[in-house]
Amino acid sequence: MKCRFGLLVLLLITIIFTQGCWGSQETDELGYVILIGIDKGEKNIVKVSFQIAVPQPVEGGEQKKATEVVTVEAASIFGAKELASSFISKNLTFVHNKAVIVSEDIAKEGLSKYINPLVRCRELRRTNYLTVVRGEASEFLEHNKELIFEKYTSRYIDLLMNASKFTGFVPESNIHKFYQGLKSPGLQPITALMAVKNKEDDKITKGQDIGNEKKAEEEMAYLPGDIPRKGGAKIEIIGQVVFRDDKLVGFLNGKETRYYQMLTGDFQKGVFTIPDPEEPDKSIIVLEIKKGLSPEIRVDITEAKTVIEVQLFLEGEILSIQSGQNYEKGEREKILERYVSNYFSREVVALVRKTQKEYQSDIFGFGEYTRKYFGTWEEWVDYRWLEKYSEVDIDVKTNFSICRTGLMAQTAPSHK
Amino acid sequence: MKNKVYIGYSEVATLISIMIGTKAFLGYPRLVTQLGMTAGWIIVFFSGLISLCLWLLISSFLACFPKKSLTAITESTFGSIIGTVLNIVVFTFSILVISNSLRIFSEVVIITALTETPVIVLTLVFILAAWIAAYYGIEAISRSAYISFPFIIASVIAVLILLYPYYDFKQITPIWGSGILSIGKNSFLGISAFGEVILLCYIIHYFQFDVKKVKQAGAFSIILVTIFFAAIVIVYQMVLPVPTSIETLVPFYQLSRSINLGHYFQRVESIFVMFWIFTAFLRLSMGLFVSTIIFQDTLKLPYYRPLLPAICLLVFSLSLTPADMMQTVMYEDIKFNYGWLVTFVLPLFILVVALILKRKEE
Repeated sequence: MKCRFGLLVLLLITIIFTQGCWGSQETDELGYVILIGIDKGEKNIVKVSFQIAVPQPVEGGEQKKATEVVTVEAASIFGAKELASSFISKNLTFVHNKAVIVSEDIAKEGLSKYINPLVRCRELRRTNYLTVVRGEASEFLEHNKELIFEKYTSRYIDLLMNASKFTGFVPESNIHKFYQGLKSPGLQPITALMAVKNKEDDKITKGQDIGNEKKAEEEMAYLPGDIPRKGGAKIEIIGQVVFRDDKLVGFLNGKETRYYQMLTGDFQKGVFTIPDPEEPDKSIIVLEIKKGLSPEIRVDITEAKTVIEVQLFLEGEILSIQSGQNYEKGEREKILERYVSNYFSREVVALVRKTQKEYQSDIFGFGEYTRKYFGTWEEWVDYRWLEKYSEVDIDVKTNFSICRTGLMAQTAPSHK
Repeated sequence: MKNKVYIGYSEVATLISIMIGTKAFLGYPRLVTQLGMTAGWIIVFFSGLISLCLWLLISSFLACFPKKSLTAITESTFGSIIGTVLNIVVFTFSILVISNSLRIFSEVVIITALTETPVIVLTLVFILAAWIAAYYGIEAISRSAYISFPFIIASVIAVLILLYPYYDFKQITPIWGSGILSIGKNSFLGISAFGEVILLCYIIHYFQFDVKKVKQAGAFSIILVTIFFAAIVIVYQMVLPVPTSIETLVPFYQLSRSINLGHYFQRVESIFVMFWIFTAFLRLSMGLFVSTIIFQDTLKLPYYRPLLPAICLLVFSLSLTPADMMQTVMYEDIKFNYGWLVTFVLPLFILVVALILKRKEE
């Protein structure tokens, strides 16, 4: 009996000490940061902006704004969070943070010192998006409040980043992937690119007459902030940032970002406009291109030279043939397939050359394919792939096939 | 006087599997990655193989002394003074290991779930729970292990499968990682990770079945855990490629945090943390129980239960001795490098000497 009583007391003590009491925090005491923006500071090292969710009342109407942006200057991100507590009644937490947005200036200076605390922090997840913004991150967050199609900015960013599955304009860009690129001897980091649409440009001005062929080719070649448009939200996400080690060295536009993803195997589908093979300056063909298979990549290392051999496997559906030529079947279908294959191969090679000559940065991770030539980790690191990258040859072969032709089997001639 | 216990082969096998396997939720994947780089999983495989061979050898020798625990064999072979000293060494080792485990588990709970809770409270709760479990004895602990085993295995498999978007087998090449010599050396040192299997030798007199079954239970545990350790290390290196994988403090937790399957399937680690904490509780309870039994057998006491409060207090105090978490991690690394001396070499030495003396007597 005594023993049972003793056990009961022990159990009671255990229940009393149930640990939740120490860490408990009421939901209404917390301020949920959903986006973090990092800029260079003027009075201190960094200027950190937090976009915080504004709690909505259960009854009695809705709050006018869904989020509030506050900006604090401090020596570190965590210091800024602490300082913000002096004028925000809530205890700020990053547990529901969706993205970390870094200004171009900070990215040029080097991101590694800002990434380290993000990787170490228990509240932040490595699955958080990491992006660079052209201009100021604080300005971006301010404009990010003016949403049209979504109420919450985190959802908006989430949808825009995921929309890449249907367009290919945005690469997979999170803290995890960036950190992997930062540390690997066979890969360089990238991030997605964002910007605020310039107010003065909020009208479509007449562009230069560069011919239809060039216009078709450059249809998607925009950086964020430059898309000719009217209306819609102020922010744009298209293209990506190229880093060499932890420093920003350049941008890839929307078109190049799609080719980048074709090489990494992340490309799912997108609409492409190409000049008509038979009358390139007059007509265009619009295709929806999908990934057929993942790309086959081989890096041949010989004493004489190193060659990267890439095979892309794509399939497509015809959306439009302006010229009315019947590219749907027979010999013309083969002509179109060959044309598109060569077109993509040429574009992909041009992109790789750009990263070799202009940026000297292997963002595609070709170096990862050289691992098999080495027995040990040390031998591979000593090979110093990233230093050799700009000198290697590239050979791209595209296997493209037309799988569907929309709802039309062919175009009948017009008899007028 | 011994309590009669009724536990089967399956209960023992699952209990030892959990005892060994708990390391997967602590720093083990990081440690083998640090030693073997991309060949960390090869270290796991060879360590398992060497441990299996040593276990088969030790359990075969043990079969020559039916129903005698290793504590009793040590004393009858080396006499009461040297025998007691050797048994005290084993007891001290087990107490140090259990204290360090208690501290690490408490620290991991702080990192993963209860960030504001003082470490002393967590260690206290763990040790009180372990005390109750050890009080009820091996039957209660092994039954709990048997019941929870499918859930623990399912949670590990679920995490490994849900991480499939990260799978990239290039990340486990170059195949020889830190080099063949380093793999060989660390595979041998790595047998410490499987050292818990030797606990069976100290509580063998509790089992109703024969030594052959004990041998099978140990072998099953080593094989099963080797497969799981290797799978965890491979997935870990694919999700967090070398060199980032040598940075993570609690690799398996980091893996579960990386699960992100669309909008609705993410932030799932809290589901799994529950199972891991229960695993920690089982490991601590069994460790406490076996340490107490070794001490009881060494001092030839009739009961083990009166010893529990004193041993719990000792474990609790020792667990709070390290100044910080990194010190406990350092002690765990020391155990990895030298633990095999106590877990495999010492029992083997004792049994070889005991066999030689037995042959001479015959």
